[in-house]
Amino acid sequence: MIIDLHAHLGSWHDFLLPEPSSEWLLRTNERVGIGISCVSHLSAIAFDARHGNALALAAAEGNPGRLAVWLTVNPHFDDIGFIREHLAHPMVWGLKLHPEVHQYPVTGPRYEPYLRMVEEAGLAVLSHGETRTPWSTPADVAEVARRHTNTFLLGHAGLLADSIDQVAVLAATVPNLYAELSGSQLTHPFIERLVEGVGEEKVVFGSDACFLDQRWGVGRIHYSNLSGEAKAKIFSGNAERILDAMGRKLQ
Amino acid sequence: MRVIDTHRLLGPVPTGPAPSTVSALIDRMDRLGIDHAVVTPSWHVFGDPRAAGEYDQQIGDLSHRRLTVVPCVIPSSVRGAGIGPPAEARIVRACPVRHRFDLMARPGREVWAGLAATGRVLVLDAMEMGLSAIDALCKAESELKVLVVNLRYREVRRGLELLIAHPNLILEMGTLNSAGAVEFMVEHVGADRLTFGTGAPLHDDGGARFALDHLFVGDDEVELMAHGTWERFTGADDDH
Repeated sequence: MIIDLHAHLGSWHDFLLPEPSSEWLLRTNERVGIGISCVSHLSAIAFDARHGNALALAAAEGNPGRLAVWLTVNPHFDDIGFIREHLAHPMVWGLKLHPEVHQYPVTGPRYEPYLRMVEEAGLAVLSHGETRTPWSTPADVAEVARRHTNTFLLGHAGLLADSIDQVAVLAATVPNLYAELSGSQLTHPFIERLVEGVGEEKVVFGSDACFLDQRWGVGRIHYSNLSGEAKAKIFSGNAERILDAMGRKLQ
Repeated sequence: MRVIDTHRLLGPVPTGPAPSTVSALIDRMDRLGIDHAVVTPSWHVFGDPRAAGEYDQQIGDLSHRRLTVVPCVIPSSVRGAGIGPPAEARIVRACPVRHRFDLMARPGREVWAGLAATGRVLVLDAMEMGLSAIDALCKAESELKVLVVNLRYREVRRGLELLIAHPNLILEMGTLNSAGAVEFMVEHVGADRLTFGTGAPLHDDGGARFALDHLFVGDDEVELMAHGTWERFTGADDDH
């Protein structure tokens, strides 16, 4: 069973997403062997975190064991109470940060209260990662991970192929930092290079559905030259270990 | 099921690893279950197509029965400044941005009209040149057969409009990688307007190939995308 640690629900403003629903996501998951997706709602990222988080929670509650939730944090708003309350929800796996959309650096102080909360809850953080931006470069996400003890997932493994060697070094040297593989930029030779550099224990699968289609994400690993053991760890083994440490049980 | 990859580069590219020889490409195709690939040699795209012959022989047997080579053209009214379509090529590619020429200037218009008159196919990269330029060309040369590659997930809406507007245009579907984009296109324009391609090595071929086997469309529609649309469009049945 594949565990998708980076997925979304909902539509998006600047291009057409043909299938933004949880029904489509789950139907496609079933088709390709994804057992559970941890989602944030795109409306939470785009304009209203509390509204989108509520939609994501409702979708997960309607699909127990098949959807989990990243609660989106927008650092420009005070959502401390909402986030604190819902971090205790058993279907919540942690926080989603999108410093790029919110135009606020992941290293900035407005994220810190949320990051302390999620650390205390023992849950994870999935941050958008993007090479050469002012907001959340791989080095920035690694810096924040160093300040905390909980798991940090570097979204898209930094997004661009030319940062793969840097991401490998960062994920290898920061114990609680993992490279998450979603994105349309990385081809299998770069994923293989990343795994060779950091080790197969520090790389996890994400699809970025419904932004992207999870069939492409699964196929990229499936047809890569990684060993069967490495693929199993990336698809599920590493995520199971992270979830077990968080006290989140899969059904 | 016969699978034709209608969008692939063969050879080294500046941004990363790629199968650089014919034999390496055939090995990768075997791994993916791809029977035939329509390839533009990378040195036609990233090098000067006028000098491509110098490199062609180094890479292996480009006449391999499982490959169809798509050369690049550069229209020019000045002898030696461009390169026209080889007589034997049924499919050619144009990179007007990368190779810096005017798609709609007179030398280009003459080449495109010649392709249209002989039923040959022109391949255009949506991300390189933009959909407005493709639209303008298709309006000006309505009989020209055009394969648009590399549309990608952000341009589903405009790509659909392009397909509706221009019946002689088909779209490579391997880079349509947002959730349900292929099914959406099939529903609105039909699988006979879509053809499988990977965009490799600039895009991952495994993702597109895996997706082809896991679509929510009928078997007949998958067959069309896998090979039927392309064979019908190009008359390429004799490539088997």
